[in-house]
Amino acid sequence: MSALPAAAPAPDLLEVQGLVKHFPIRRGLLMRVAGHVRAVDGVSFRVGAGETLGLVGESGCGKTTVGRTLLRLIDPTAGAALFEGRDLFTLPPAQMREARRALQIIFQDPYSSLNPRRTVAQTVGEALATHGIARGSELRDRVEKVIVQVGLQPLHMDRYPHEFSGGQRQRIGIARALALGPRFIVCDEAVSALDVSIQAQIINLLEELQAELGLSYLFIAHGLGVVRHISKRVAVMYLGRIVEEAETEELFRNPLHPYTRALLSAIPGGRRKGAARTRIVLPGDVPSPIHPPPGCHFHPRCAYARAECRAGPYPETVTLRGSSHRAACHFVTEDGGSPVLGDPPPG
Amino acid sequence: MESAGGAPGAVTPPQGAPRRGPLSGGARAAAAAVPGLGPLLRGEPGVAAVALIYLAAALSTTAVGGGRAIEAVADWAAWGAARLAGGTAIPEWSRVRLDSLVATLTLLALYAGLWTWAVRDSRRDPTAPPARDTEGRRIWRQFRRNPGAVGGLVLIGLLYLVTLLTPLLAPYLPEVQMDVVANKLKPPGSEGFPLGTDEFARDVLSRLMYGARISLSIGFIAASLSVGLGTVLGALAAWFGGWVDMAIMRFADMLLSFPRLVLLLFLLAAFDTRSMYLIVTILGVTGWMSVSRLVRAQILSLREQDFVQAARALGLPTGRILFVHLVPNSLAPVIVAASLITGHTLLLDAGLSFLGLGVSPPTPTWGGMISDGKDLLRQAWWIAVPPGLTIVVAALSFNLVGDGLRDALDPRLRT
Amino acid sequence: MSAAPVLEIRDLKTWFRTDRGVARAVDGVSFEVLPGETLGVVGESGCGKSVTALSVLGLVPKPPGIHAGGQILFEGADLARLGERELEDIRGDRISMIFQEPMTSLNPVFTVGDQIAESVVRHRGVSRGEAMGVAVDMLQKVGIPSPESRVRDYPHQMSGGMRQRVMIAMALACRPTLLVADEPTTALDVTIQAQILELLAQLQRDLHMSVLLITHDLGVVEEVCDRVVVMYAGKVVERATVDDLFDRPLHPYTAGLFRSVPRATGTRAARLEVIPGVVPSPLDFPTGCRFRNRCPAARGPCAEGEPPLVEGAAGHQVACHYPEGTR
Repeated sequence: MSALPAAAPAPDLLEVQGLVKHFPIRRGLLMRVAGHVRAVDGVSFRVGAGETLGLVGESGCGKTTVGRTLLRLIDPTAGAALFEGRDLFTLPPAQMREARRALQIIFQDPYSSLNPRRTVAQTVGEALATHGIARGSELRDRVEKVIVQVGLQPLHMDRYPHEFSGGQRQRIGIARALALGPRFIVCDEAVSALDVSIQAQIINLLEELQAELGLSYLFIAHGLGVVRHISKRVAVMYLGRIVEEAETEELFRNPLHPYTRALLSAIPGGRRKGAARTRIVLPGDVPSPIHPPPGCHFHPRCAYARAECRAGPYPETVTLRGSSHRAACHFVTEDGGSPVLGDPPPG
Repeated sequence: MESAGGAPGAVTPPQGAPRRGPLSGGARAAAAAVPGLGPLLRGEPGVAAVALIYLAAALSTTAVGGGRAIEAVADWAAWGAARLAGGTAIPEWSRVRLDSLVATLTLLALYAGLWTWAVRDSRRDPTAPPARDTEGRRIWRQFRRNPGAVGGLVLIGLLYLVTLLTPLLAPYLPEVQMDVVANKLKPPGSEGFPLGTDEFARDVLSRLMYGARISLSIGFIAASLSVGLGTVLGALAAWFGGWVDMAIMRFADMLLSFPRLVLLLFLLAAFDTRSMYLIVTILGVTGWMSVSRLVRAQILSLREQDFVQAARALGLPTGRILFVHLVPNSLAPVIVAASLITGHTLLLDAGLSFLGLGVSPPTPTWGGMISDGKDLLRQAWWIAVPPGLTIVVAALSFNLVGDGLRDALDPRLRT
Repeated sequence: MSAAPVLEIRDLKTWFRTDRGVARAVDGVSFEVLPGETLGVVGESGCGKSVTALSVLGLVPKPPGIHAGGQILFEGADLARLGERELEDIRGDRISMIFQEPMTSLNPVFTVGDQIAESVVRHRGVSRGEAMGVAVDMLQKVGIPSPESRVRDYPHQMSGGMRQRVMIAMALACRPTLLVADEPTTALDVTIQAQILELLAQLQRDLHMSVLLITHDLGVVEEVCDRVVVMYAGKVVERATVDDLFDRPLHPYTAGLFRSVPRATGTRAARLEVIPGVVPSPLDFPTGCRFRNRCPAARGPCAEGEPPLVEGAAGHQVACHYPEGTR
């Protein structure tokens, strides 16, 4: 693998620079701002055309907020998101409406993500109709095409969501996102609520659609197995920041950040009861994003933390030489080693 | 309509019990000919009872007012002919005539509806698997399990039917005074006055029937106005938040902080003559606050749901998201509130009329009739008691329907 | 493992009456839990695993639920025949349960100490003061720092992981012989899940209790269970030790499940294998084998008889006419 020249990176479809989202906390009668939830605190990444970036992290790390700001469902506090060269965050409303056709989102909960009072055809065709893209029989044809594309049948078009199973509902949600012909889709925990056998069906569908339509995905999830399967690259978030990002296999084989290591080692499976324990069990809970710890946000739970981690600035992101593997930890050097952290855990 | 649930005593047949198949041959023809016979033959007494009640209502109206119905049609034909002839003396087209014509058409529609239903029902196969299960069907199934609610709905239906059929049924026009000396304060059962007369020698039954039109219309229209206003204001407050929310909800709080009756007295006292329209408007604009709070709370929780986020991501306009995606999904508690509010408004209007602040006399209203009869309760109880009973029945019916709807719309109670 | 089982379920049937017919949620389930072991019950949503757990504690709402047959033998009594009073005596004392949702399983208006003490007072008949002492001990045991002060906290003052620890403290306060854990870590983040699983394993050793673990997560099953029951459409389709099940699954459903999970370790599959179709409705199970519509190995006989649960290998039972490796 190393003997081959690195493949030319795909041209960037989306480049996010320094994305920040602080939610104000308002208190009292006058709704004075009493503090901020630092949900996203300076996040940068790129997604190439036709590739999948996995975004993982535990609840409250800000991964969902990242996805929603890209679609302007939430307005960002600062930063830029260049989509095909144009900054989504400063687009005037008319152009944003245009851009929405290229950016779409798929949600986690197959139950709350569909309007229970609208038929499949109404749900999938609504945007085409209201944007004046298609009407009448042309609208119906286009909806039918998308319905078939996601593995449903035309006879399903006039049914209501409650007549479908969770997996089928997720297909309807995918069809709704596909109807406008997007190039980039945010998959926000899109398979997390599904049973294992159904989850596999939906993952395969997403992969087929990507191959067929050249889609790019931002795949937000907490299930590491799923993310590993579907992503070309993976970014790990902790308390509003990306702590590590690398090509998928590189990240799983050679995690550099202590948090990534703990996260990977915490995944259950592969070890039987009574087997030798190599698991890293992190102490404590994720701190509140209202008052993130000073220095490195991870230091209260990190077994290696030193004085420089507890105070001082947040660690710089270090990119490994000759690679795109980057991590934000004081112990990581450009050579890819770290005298303190030792070997990564087996697995 | 899989089972005979709904009527008192009727129970959903236990699962697995053999069901009777579709009607055939002569039984089917008979069922199509007589509404209510079909359910009776299939062993669904509750459904049969409802059909037979409405059939009886239609037949008795025909018996009492058939002549007037024919007259009304003939009258209309004559008027039309005169109009076409274009003579100089076109007869005036009075409200009374329009009333009679509408009543006649209602009667015809009632017959048409009954027999359309009977023919369709006679062909129904109760053992056939139910059609696709829609939300509406599930709600209806749950609703008809509640005998009180179904009874209330049947009564409400009858009351509103009577308001439309009154011109065919009522012995007199409500304002008509008989010879006061001879006919004053006749007791019920007197010759020509089934419910007696009041102190101005007016027929109580006629006044009760015409009063129903005013009282029930006021209740229904004012409640609709309240619900519509409350829904729109609540939706706007929830969606836009900020100062819009602040302004609407604080205004609602302000209105709520007055006792409603005091507010109404204050507003109504400003007018010398009070038409039905005035009463409806004032009752409507003082009753929307609870609905707006309900809708606001519903929409605040709905707007965080993913299907609303998806609609935003698709770039749909705000109005569409609000009124296509949010409002229809928040209507369940509003429908319950609407039926309760209708009953409440009915009572409130009766109260206002009793206080002499309702629709101005001599137009009959139930509350006004009670007021007229209150001083004569000892000598002539029949003036105040019948409107009192109808008010109770109407308000109770609306409350029963409201309770039934609340249960039927609650997904937790559904099985 | 020749000791008498702590819990023995024989041909349990728990059904539900609905408008559209009878839903056979649990339809003839048998297994036993041995002293000190962890038995895992796995399956996808709607397979009847949670209803089985609720049946053991008599927590299935009736109506619409019906006990349609079978026995639940625990300490010589058939729990399915006990009245509500007798069940209350057992619940929280000798059998306890922890649930998936740590947010809604605690009452927000009482302190966590009150909630732990409540069941101790109920079952042990001790004073409130003594029960509060037990509560502090239990909080310490489940690893909550400074238990003396946290005992006066309200649930909303704690994080999700902490609340699940409190739930465990509540469940174990009376030292039950059997703990029924229904998806105890599903709502938790993976690093917190690791903490809770570790804690449960340690408490199980300390208290010598048996655990009936209901979960859909095959990774959790592999790590914490001794033996496993796989459920599908209200039936047990396979029953084996963890090693046998994970090394040599015999039922095509179990094998299909293993192949459709994307793994975070080991080699990465180019494409996930899929079990086609969806789980059948409990109102309308297929005739014969309930998995046959989705089964790659289905043949004529599968449509006729329901395959019985038979010994497919030593100590490894499977309900399939054509188990893996025999075709």
